[in-house]
Amino acid sequence: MSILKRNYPPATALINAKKLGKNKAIELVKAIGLREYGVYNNRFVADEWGDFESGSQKPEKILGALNNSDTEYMLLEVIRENTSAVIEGLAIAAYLSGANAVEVVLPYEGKDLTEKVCEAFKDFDLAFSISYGMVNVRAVGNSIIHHFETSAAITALFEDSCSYMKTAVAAVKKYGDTIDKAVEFPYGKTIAEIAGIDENAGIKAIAVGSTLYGVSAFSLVVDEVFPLENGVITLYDSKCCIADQAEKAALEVRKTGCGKCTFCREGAIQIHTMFKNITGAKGKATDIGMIKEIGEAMRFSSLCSIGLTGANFALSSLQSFGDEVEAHIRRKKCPAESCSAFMNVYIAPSICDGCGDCLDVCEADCIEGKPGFIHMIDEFDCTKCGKCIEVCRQKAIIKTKGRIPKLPERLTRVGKFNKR
Amino acid sequence: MATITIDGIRLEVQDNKSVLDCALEAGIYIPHLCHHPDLSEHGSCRLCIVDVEGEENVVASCILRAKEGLNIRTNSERIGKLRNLALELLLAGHPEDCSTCPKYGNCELQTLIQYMGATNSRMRARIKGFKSEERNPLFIHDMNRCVLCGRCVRACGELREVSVLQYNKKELETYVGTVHDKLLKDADCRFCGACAEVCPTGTIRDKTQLLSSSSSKEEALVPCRAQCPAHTDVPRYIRYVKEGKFSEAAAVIREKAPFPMVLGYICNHLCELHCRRKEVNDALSIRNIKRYAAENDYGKIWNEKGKQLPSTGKKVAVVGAGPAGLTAAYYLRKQGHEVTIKEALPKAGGMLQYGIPSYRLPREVVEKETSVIFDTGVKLETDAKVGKPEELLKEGYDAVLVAIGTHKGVKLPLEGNELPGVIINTDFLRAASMGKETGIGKKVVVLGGGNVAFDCARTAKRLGAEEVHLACLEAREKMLSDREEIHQGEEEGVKLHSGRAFEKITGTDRVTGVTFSEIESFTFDENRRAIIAKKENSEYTVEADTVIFAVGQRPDILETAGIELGRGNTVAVGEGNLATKVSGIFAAGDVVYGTNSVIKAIASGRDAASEIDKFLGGDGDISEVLAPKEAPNSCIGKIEGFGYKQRKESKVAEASDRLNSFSLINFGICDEDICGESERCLQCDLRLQISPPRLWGDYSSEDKGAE
Repeated sequence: MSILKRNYPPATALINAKKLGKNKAIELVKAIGLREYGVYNNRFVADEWGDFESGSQKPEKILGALNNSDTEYMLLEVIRENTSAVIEGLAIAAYLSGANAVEVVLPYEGKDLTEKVCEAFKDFDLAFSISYGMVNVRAVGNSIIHHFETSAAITALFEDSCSYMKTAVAAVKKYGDTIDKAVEFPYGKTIAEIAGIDENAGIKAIAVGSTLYGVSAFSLVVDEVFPLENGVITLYDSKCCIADQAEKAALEVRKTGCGKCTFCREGAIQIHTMFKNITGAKGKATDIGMIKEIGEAMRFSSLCSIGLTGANFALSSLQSFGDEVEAHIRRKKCPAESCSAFMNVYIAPSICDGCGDCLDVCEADCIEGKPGFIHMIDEFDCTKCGKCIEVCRQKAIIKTKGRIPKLPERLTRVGKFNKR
Repeated sequence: MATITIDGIRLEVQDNKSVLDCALEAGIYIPHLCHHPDLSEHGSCRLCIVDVEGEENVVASCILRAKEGLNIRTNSERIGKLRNLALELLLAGHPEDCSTCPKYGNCELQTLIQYMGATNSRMRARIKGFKSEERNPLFIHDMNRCVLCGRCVRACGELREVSVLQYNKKELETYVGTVHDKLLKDADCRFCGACAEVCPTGTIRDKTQLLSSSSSKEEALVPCRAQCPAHTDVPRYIRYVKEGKFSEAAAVIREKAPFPMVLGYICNHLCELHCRRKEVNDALSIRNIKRYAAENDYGKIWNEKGKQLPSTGKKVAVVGAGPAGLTAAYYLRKQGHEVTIKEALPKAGGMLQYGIPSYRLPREVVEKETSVIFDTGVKLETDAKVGKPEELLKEGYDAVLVAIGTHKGVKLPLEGNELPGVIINTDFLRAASMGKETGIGKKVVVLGGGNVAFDCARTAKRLGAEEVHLACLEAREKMLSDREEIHQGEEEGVKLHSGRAFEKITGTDRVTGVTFSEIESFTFDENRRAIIAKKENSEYTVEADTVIFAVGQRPDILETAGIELGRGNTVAVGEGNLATKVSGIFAAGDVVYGTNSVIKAIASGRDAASEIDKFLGGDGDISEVLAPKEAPNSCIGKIEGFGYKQRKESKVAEASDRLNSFSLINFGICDEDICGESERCLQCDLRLQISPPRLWGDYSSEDKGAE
């Protein structure tokens, strides 16, 4: 295969590209129709170089990086496994675009690759630097940024253009688990094939990168324009509440973003707050419309992938699971029975032995009781945090989405409560 | 060049130029917030979005580059909606309290809200909950008001290369701060104020209320220059000193005042008292820096550039060769008039020669700087007291300037004030300066608490008085003299009696002492009359054979001089023109406004020169460009520990060595310290170079003008 492992010794591809000469080499990339990987797969690689070709200006640098929005770092596997190909791809890009230097931007999570990257650069006579963290898009206006995956693909293409086949890298994880091994696959396969799942796997929803789909997405064909983004396919089972997942996704955007672009920063705050209200039983009917309006604008209103993809999860969850999200607002229900704000918590009067343990752990201070008396929860103040449930040795505290049975109205001695 | 079309208007613009700049320069307003003309584009606020022909999505015009054939629309329904959405998002975290905000009326965000009519009502509004940071000197940081336009961060990094401000994040809220939230002083801030200048909201703002006060922004921001009566360009000469260009620095000073070295010794330095650096730690030692520049000036710069207009054939008489008269004579001569100074005393200099003791101001310095005046051709007649200025007009002078200062000391109406042994400050100091017998004994009491009182007391000490007391009404901390005078006076053995009421001078045929009582409180009523409350039974008498009154001076002029006199025997002049009621007679300096500083007299002398020049048919423009006009380097960079750099003081002789003679006691700042001290300057004036914001209102008024 070609992106995760190279079959030729280092520098083969660059030598081939130089043999072809700049014009022919660019023509070849154009003819193959090689696209950028990751979030920007609407861009043709040859066009990125071409933007500079037309003007007298040359790009300052070629940058190799992951997308800023990628917080899974699965695709670091490409530069980890195939370091020399990634570096060589950047060197080829520098040669073809006329850039004089190359910079590799490693996320802090990939800092351990520094030595490997330095080692790989030894094969090329090229000014290079390594920086860490995110790509500061405001500082690299005059440079070209290639995804590590794109770079590896450029090398693969020039190693042997005749047998070159377009491939991509993906990996699967169940929500909450760690990521499985990265796999490389040729374009044209379905999600189900790539993920190795079928419709009977008990999967409710599936996220590819930042976009959420229903099970119908199993049959979607992954080609070069499919938004594979960070290549991580996340599977959600029926216990997952989509609104809750959307809240978590928006929170992740808030954590990741640098805070400079208005729409990324403030948009994510609004979407996160609104989903938080929705899962907290405080959603408003207007929230759905507002999330859509802000989310649609976010798709083109930021300078980097964090903001551009920041609303994808929210928008796609409304598209594929609109009813489930709206049920939180309109029917005051969490269909997945996951959001605790919609649950009722009460102390079963026939089981409570009046020990007082629950009273001590309650942070909302909403449990009333004294030794030997049946304890009671003030429903109004209860946050449904569940701490009392954990601590109760009698298992007298019950969380339910159903109705609450008749409970004592005032403090009653243990054993004296008359159900009637 | 490229031809682009904005809203149907074709424009010829530079290739690759920001389209927002193209539009704004052509008078087409596009709302914007993070854009600032002096800073790199940030592309974050999304208010300047436009539709581009052939593009699916809207584009921020600030980061859109002009290229041939570009066709954009600045307004459409879609743009309006997205722009409003951007502003709504910004307002979601911004407090809704414009009316109580210190920036009210000058806030760019507020004008955008007015222009677009957006509110945060559709958003989930929040309070960011930052504590307003007020512990820093000069600036307040209220991050709750911040909309994260990033101008301050860019100004600090790009304009100044100081890079103290950065984006930080705390509990998911982004804010602008320093690394590890250090205080500005600990982060090596240069306190240049660029951040506050570019902030469009009330987030980073000056502690000084710039606009509510009556003074202009420039006066508030560069107080050293504004408070100097002559408006000497302090930051400019300090920069030259820092670069080691002392002649250039002296030339800058000479653009406003012809006695740089004299001022470097004895100026009352209002500049220093108002220096903004004192908020950081201590004020800059401006007077010492000036003195250093003047002492190291080899004249090459200003000598060659001074102006001399051709002769006008007009004659001016200046009465009095003090700082006001000399200054006026100097500039009048440069305007082409023939000038003669009539001085009552044997030498030129006025109080510089006969008032200020030579241990503070060596007479060589006075002579060196006055000689510059006479080098221009100004004539001096000494021992020439003028009784009636009007007669000079009859003698053929076209104009007369009365600049006789205040050389007549006053006595308080106190029992015993006529006894032998009672003398007056001016007479005493003049006699001492001239080396004549002063008439003091062994035990001297000086009455008064200003610098002149200390001059008297310390002169008496040097003349051999065994015991010198100084008594004044004011409490020690409210005394009018410089702190330095009190300190050095006490070092020299002057005994201070502050907060004392003067009861009487004792003695029958000669002074035997002064009786004082202690003061509990001392204030002035609305008629400027002193109200004194004394402590009961606190009277005591200090034995003395000499009493020197140092409680103020008045002009030595009589009604018979033929000009109208005002309060305190001063010469009455018209407001703003220094002209007396007698046509052709002007007045300047202390004689107009009462005893004051040398620099004020110089400023007054300049004004008089200008007025008299106009009276004689000139344009009254006495300004000179003596120093090179160089744009200062605004890229000041970071200096480690800048805020903590200590003020460098002058070297002063030991008290025991001082009392032996009248030789100079203050040696100014040393060669090793001069560069470090001038580097401490905050360069407040750099801030004035930053382009002011242009609000949408500025564009609409321009449109109307075009119609």
